[in-house]
Amino acid sequence: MNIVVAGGREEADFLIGSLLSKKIKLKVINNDANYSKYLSEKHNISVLNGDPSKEYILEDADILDYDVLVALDSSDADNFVTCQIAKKRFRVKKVVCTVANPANVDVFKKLGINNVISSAYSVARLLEQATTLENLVNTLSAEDEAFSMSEIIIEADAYYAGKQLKEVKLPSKARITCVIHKGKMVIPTGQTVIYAEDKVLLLSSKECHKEAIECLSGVRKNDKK
Amino acid sequence: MAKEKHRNVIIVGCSRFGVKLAGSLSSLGYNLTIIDKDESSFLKLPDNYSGYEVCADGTDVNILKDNGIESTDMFIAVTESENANILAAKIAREIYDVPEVYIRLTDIEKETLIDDPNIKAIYPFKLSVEEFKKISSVQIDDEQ
Repeated sequence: MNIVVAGGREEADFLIGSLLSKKIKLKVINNDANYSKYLSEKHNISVLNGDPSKEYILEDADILDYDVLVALDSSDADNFVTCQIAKKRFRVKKVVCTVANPANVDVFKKLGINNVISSAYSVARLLEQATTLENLVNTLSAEDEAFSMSEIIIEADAYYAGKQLKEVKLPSKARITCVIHKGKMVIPTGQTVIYAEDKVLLLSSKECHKEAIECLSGVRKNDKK
Repeated sequence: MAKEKHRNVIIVGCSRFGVKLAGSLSSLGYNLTIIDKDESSFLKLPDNYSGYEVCADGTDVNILKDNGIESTDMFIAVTESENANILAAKIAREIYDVPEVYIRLTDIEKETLIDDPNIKAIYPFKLSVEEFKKISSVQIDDEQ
């Protein structure tokens, strides 16, 4: 695995440290001369000082057929161009970039850059999830949010607390894939009983997600029964 | 031509070039909107300019949407940052299907990123070389 880290400051610093500890082959490019020097001295690696959105700089960095390029510049437009050149001219297999403007997550996707990270966007999503339901601990989305995996704590007053899984009326595209009972993992069957304080892992499609969570949450009784 | 009266144009970047185009197109009857992050850049606009002035980031899709990119006939990206010009042009062309898009580029290597015949690039450096050839006593013949 070889990775190019282009631009960025603290996040680049942290990422470089973490990748080096995993023995990954790294190329680092930074357009700030002082910061390049700092990164080079701190991590004991060579850092190419230059603008990574320029083709001749990437040429010089010799990144043809690299596995991943991560663009961390503070300008979204610069990251966009860096990623495009890396993909089109240097056949880098996967390009990832950060954006300051959350709207650019969708814009870049439409323009062919699929892995876009916006801290504002991610934080907003997490906050949204955290505030809608208290018992929802964690949600992981995949495939462009087409499906997600959520961790839910079964509250004492939940309708299904103390009942067998086969009684739980989940939407068709939702499954409880794992039950964590007193810290121990249980691969559930229909006979498995879910108790209050248990944590369940719920896998569901985007459409069913809300309904499935509401079904397992405390207050709501399942009236389909 | 009467048709031009109804044509909408967005210019991103109130540079000298942007200002000149805005003035000319405005006096021809085009409906202009010029967008620039720097408020003071609008002072350069000529007195006869009758379009809108928007102080904002012209590569922000929401700003472009608010300023009618969906019904724009011509989009011109001439900021000082050529990467911003490329991003703005791509948004105009690939997301909003603006029929005519023009951008200013300084780096000729970036030409390959614009694989769209409807995005036309202007290279100041190329034009300068042409001009030099015309006015100087040197005979330059660079067919490459």
